[in-house]
Amino acid sequence: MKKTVVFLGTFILSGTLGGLWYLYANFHPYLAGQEFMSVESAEKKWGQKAFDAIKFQNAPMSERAGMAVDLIKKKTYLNQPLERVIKEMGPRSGYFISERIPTYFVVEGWEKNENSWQLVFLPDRNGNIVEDVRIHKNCCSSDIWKNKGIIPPKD
Amino acid sequence: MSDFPKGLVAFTFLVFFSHVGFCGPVSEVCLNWFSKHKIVAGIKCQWECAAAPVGMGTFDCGSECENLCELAATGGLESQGIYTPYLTIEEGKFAAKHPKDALKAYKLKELAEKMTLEEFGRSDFDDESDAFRHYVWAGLLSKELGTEVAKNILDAHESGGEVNAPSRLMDLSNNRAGLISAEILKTKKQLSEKEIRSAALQELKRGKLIVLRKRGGPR
Repeated sequence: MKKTVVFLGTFILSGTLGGLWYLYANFHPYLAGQEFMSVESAEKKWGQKAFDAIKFQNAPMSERAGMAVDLIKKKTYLNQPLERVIKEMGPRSGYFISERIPTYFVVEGWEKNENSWQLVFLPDRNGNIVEDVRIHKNCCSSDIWKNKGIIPPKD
Repeated sequence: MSDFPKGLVAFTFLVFFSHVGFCGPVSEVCLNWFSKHKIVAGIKCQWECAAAPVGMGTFDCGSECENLCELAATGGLESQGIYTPYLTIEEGKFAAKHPKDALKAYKLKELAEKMTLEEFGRSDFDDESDAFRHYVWAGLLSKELGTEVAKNILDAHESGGEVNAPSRLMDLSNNRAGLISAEILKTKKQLSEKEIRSAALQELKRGKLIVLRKRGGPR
């Protein structure tokens, strides 16, 4: 009986501590309310095209999107300094939470009332290293489309 | 796709800032002094803080040791960067000293971003939507927190980067335009969200805002 209680106690305690650690390590409150596209969905939608930082700067949006998929899948800039992104990929476009987060449009849909997507380089907790690279919906969330009296376009 | 509830972020900020808020106000000079001496949280914190050398400008910092150590213990000093990697050091300091204003500023930033998306269908960098976003945020801050606090927040937001970077100068100029506009609207007793938004669009159309990269809009 005593052994069972000790075992269960240890199990619950380690589970709770493990859960708290997981939350601390993975939860980023500043990402709340944001909408991202998975790399699988992006590949299905735009395909994959070999990423080249120089070509990316002048590439049409259709090619940029495919390159973004390649960049994410190959983890090109993961764990690299944020400054390296700007240095290699050139002047940024788009916006995500702060001017300090590098972003690049890969789909510009505002003239056709379509959704716009951008590549975002999420920093680590100290704001220096690229911790994650994601495809973020710059515009628009369904409520903004509805406020404009437009039926939200399908992604 | 993942869609996080927006309330969660506000809640997290509220918990974080209220946590910091209980520690009482500490001066910026003493925050810098405390950080400079690399005093860390723990049982020896107050001893080390009290024993740390002080100068002419930091003479009173010893009396703030209790608050400073409590701030350090709750993560109020270090977590300014940890929880919000997009905050500048100056913004972090502001949040530690004025948690309620910082939370308000954060919510107003979200409102300015939402208005930008509604008007332009995009939120971009160095273009018309960027100018609009800064102007409106400045106006909203002035409306809710007063011009002086608004200016402090806006300056803290622009701190840390390259001083003469064109993007930074563009942001500072458009922030200033937003603050001036709010002052004018205040004297006319017309200061409201709607009026700030409308003034931003008018000034953009008249070419009064600084735009480095013309992309068109609003739509």
